[in-house]
Amino acid sequence: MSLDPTELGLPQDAMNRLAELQPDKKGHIFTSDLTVNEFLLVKQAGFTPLGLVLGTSVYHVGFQVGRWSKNQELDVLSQAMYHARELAMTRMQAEAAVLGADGIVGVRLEVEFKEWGSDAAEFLAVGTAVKADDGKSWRNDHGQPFTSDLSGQDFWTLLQAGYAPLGMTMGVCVYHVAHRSFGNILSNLGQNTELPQFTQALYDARELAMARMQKEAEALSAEGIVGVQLDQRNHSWGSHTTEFFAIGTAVRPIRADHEIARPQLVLSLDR
Amino acid sequence: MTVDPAGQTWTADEIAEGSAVEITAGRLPLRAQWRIAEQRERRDRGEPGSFTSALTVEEFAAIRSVGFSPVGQVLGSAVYNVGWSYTGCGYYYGRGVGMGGVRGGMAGGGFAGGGIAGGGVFGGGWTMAPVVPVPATQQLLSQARHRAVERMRQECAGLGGDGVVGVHLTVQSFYGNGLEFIAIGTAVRADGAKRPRKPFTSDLTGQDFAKLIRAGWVPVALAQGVGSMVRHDDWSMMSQRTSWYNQELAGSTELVHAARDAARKSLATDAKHVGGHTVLLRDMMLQVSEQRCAGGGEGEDHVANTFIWGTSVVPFETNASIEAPLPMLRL
Repeated sequence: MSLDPTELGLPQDAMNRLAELQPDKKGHIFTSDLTVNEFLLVKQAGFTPLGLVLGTSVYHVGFQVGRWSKNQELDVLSQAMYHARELAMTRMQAEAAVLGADGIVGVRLEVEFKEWGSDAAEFLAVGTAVKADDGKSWRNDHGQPFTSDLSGQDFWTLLQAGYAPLGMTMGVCVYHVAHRSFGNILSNLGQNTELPQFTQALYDARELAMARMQKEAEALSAEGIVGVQLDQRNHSWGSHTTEFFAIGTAVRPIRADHEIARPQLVLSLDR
Repeated sequence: MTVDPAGQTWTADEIAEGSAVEITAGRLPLRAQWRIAEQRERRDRGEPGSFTSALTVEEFAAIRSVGFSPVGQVLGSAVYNVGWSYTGCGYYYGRGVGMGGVRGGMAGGGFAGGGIAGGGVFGGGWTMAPVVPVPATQQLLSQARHRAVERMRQECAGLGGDGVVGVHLTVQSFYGNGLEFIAIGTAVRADGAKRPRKPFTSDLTGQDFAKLIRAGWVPVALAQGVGSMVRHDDWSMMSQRTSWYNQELAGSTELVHAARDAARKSLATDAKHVGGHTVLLRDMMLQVSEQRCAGGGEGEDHVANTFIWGTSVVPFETNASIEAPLPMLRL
């Protein structure tokens, strides 16, 4: 069989369709926040994109300062960063539920400080609501559409491997790292040495964020979390106050074996 | 003196005048029309150097692999004066101050019997300032963007192309309040005799275009949506902003959500108009700015403009088999 698209009439078929097209025709048009690769793979995996869904929250972050020389979590700020994201995510999920979606793929969570002043930001959650073609329900234990920040490619691979996404899980910790005392700076002057109080602060903050994320996965009765990203951002708080943010997609097994097709090894001639 | 492809002679002034008429009618200026006509003739005669393209080598190869060839780089541009259109911020509605063009959907906003005392509203009975659409700005931005794309499409049709791939939409400022909206891409033509009624437009790269065609989908048109909303910074926003506590800025959330939602709705309308099945979005942009109250009252307004765009695609029936993806591991 020929594989040449022109011989097979691909461009002809495509142009035929455009010639038949009726503009302003009644019917629903789907929107999707997916790239072409993602779109084709999501379709291949047996899902149809229903529409772009989003949730947003403009949030004023309260006021809290850490003590100059103390390592401590700033719980007011932690709560703000968590609550605002949760509001945005919940609103996005509500939109998907209205569309009758089984889940949301390719979710992006963004924080943008715009013209709202230095201590307020827009928290935005955007993704593409999808519905399974097989008619089965892919919703999670809570009856909510699943959410996943995996790309369409990762989503496809995950399903091939016998897992399904349950929901995005996240953990936040805003931490104030103590300033070093003058004596401490003097005593270490000119030496290569570990600074234990700094190490401890960073460890503590990351562990708190990751533990919180894990708790959320347990609440979803997940088998594990994939694609975890551990970010740290200072936002508008200066160098000693940092947000540690852990986010990933909790997954559940959909079958017993997790073998994937043996990948073809490819030596790319691209740069 | 310039001689056009039809053999008629024109002075520079005549060209300028004639072009202005064409532009007002939403068409291409004369020189662009002539260049396109010349390039078209050269191609029809089969002369070399008859196509230009902004494609990379990979894109060129990808497009050829699905039976399309480039016919020329095409461009559409429109300069618009996008000043602030006075519509009022809606806040002073209940007090009968500064109206003008505020449309429905906001009655009941403003104040419900409350009074302003020393900049703060006390006692029960104040409601939040409403989010008000700015239809004039929304319409203007939408028209400007559509004109640029439409001119690009005319260049494509003039060259005998079946559609445009790799469209880049850009905006650059042009003296004062002027903005130039530009659409630039590469016109392509399908092998064979069948032609679409109207050339398609898409912001897909050559590779993405080829992948879509192979999978049995064809782009229809760029779909664009614009949303413009304004809201007065009311007392509750001021107090929330300076608070020591965590809280959501409910009014601002509403503003941003309304702007994003308006853009989504406008995109859906546009997509329905051009036809198609699914819109593959490229991006969503939000601009927020602070400005003096548009209702003529005191204080500041927040304005949110959103732009969302992508390519509408449609599946087609074909006898060509559609290949399943091959898992591979790059070395």
